[in-house]
Amino acid sequence: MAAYYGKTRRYESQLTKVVYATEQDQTTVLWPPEGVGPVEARKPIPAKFPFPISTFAKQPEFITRLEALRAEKLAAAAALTKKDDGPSIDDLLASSAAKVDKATTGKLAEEIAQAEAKTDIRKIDVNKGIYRESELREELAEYITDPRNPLFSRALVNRVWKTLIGRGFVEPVDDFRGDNPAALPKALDYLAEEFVASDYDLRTLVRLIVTSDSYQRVHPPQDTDEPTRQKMEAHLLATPVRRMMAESMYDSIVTAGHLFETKHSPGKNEKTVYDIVRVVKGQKAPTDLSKILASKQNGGEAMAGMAGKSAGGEGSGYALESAIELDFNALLNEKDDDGAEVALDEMKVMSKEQIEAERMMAMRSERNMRMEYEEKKVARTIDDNPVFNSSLRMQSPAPDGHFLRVFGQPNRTELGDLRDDSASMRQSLMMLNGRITHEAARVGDLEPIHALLTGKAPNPDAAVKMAYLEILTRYPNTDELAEGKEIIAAGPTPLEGMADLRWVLLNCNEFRFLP
Amino acid sequence: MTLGCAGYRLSRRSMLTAGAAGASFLGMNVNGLLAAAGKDHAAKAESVILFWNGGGMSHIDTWDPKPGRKTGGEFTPIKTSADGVEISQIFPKLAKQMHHCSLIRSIAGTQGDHGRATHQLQTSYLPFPNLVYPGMGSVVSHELPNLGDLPSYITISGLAPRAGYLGQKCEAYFVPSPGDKDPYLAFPEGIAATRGNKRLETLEKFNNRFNGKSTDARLTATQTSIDEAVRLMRSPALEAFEFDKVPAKTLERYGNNPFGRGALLASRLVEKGVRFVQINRGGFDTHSNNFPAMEDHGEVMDPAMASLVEDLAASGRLEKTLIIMLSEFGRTPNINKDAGRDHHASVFSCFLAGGGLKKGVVIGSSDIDGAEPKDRPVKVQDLHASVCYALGIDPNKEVMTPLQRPMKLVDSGEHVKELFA
Repeated sequence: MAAYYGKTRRYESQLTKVVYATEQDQTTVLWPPEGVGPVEARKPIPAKFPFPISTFAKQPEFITRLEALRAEKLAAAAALTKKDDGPSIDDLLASSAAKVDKATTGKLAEEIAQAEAKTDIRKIDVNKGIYRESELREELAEYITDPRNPLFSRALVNRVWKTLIGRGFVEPVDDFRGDNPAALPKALDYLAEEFVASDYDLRTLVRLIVTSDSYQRVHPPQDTDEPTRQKMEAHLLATPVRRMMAESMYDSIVTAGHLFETKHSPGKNEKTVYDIVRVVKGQKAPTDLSKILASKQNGGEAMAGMAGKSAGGEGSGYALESAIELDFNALLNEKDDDGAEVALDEMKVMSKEQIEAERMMAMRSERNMRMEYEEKKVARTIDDNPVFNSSLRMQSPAPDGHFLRVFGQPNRTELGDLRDDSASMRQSLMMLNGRITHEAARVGDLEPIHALLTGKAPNPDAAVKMAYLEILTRYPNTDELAEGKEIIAAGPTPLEGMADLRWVLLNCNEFRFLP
Repeated sequence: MTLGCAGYRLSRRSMLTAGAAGASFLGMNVNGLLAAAGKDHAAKAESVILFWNGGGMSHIDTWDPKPGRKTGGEFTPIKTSADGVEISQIFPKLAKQMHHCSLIRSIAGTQGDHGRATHQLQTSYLPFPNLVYPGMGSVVSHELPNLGDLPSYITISGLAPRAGYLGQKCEAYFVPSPGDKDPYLAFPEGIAATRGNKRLETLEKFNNRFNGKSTDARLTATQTSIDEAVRLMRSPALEAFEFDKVPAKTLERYGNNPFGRGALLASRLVEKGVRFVQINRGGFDTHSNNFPAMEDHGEVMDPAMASLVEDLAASGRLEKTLIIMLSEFGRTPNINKDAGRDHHASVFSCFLAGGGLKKGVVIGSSDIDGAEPKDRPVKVQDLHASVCYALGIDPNKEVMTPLQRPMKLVDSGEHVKELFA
């Protein structure tokens, strides 16, 4: 399999900071691997698809259906493109009228030149120069997606099945081999063939699974003994207990806690943070630091395409939970570089390591130049109004140590890096003490629940019901309702009491585990 | 399943009644543990401090000086407190502590690429995309029982290798900036202890109600991990992380920079029973201006290393603490046109101290220019096996990956006998 890929290496574009895998000049893979046997014995290995492609005496029905469907789609697409006969006379007239307008004001030439320059720039394909197209990999892609390749469709069906049901036909989901047979092999075959016949349509697959009897199964009864429980789960007679995966957890907390948008009015969350800045000795630190920092965040440090926005986590040391968001707009639009960075030359906001490095440098240059720097702690006020984004918009995998990674998101660079949904102490520290649960639990004045707890006629009943509905997507029973009201009443204020209740709900197993 | 570190858990309640339980575990008898584990020699080390110098540190300008050679560089060797052992002038303070320390000058590496070499030096295995190999620290925390409340594996100022097939429990606890407050070890801002504790009580009630009679480990693991977290949050051992009470003089002696604070934190952590501390430092990839860069590194590393060895030796802790300084490879004897040295894996050096190892000895040597091993070549895997041996861990023990593939703890290494008395 490796032979199809040849020798690849990682390449990070200096322009876009996007990482590519590209082939090197010498693309063959030598065997045996380095260090095993003498160097002379290493020979290039020919590419060979490692799995057998099924052969059939008579074309099976699902492939006939797939071919019919593809032909139909092709015809539909052809019909669509045929209609396009270029711009109509009306369009042409309209655009020339606009040009005449512009010509009278003298802007036309400028605009045309600009437009041309832009098209030229867009034509330069930054990827092409460094990314080499590979015939071998194209061949491999065709092998993999061949409808007669039984493994691709089965592996995918198995994964979707596991996501929805909680357990794959084949477990672990990656371990397809002869001596690890699937539970209910006929069901797996049926779904795989339907999946191929639908032209690999995920919606069709999901529909088939969620309308199945297996999807409706409940958990095993609580007093089931361990071996029986395992047997029931292995034969898909009961739904296994499973935690939400990292991304769902993150998004669910953000959604339930109304953190997609600001939930506090401006000014309600003002607090003072301290930054360490370095200035030439004797010089005063500028007072409009917040402005400089803001501009630095927008332009200076943020890499094009991967704006490291630490939403809401600024200056608090909670960076491991921030929504490290991919800025799709910045990727698509030209960057507007005007302004912003002017003030930065005068003053630098640095991390401790940078400060240390600079100090060493300064010590060295001091021997020649008599320039001394000192560190100053500068206070500034920020409106700490937390906003988090969906994990779907974040870079994947998240950086090491991030909330998502702590909750089991795999690194994706190694095949053996499997998703791990087990519990760990680090997860608990993050949930108990971290920023995201804390902010999700706090009640903001722009949230609907706020009105139920404050004012002349507070309605704690409705507030508890709303909290349950928002977090556990169900109503509380009578006991839970009474208990919830007690918790609210026991808080320093009703709002903080509600924060306590919501914190517990967000941390509890019922929220964390799927029904 | 063989996943998860060996460790014991106390319920939160029993932990509370036991009070400052942490302290009593520190006195746990190593021989007793060894006997329980069926080990055949009396390993002296209980914990490891690994200094990871990323980028490939020049061996010639540090542990293996080559005076009088054209490629020997700008530094002159200095005599040390160890008889007949000379090291580079950039470590004047450490030179006075070398009678506690040893050097290996004949590590024969095979990898000249940062990624591959780092992987091998940190895990003993060459990278292979099918598996995530655990780092040295994960192996140690997997094999040895916890001593005290703190996480058994802590990485400072940078990330450690992952735990891979040894499971999440053997991942390192990450301290981004030594001496700074870790926000995750206390209730969020504005939540007082009484209110936080009340929240925890309510949470336990909710979870017990939800779990009911179920003994499903997947459900009960949440509460166990909460108990572990709370135990850590309430542990008196956490004071090791706080530098408020450290005399300014001590801090100054280690060097009040991330490396010095890291070394100081490491010594405080092993006192509290942490099994493996990794301290990361970069900037050794000196393709240009090698000498001023190494001088700078010396200025930072020398006081920290010297103070660490001196303090641990004075407290008697050094015998139980193995200090090891590693880098992914050395650097070429040849000095390039930019006054730098390039990657060089075929021979490089390693610094060791404590852990019951022999003191003041040098094992192996490189040739006249420091280009190839001259005698006693030591494989990278042998280093890993030696760390295991010092701790009483069998490096050939097999553990199962999640897909049930047996893997040795160390990729076929043999401990360096000359290091051990």
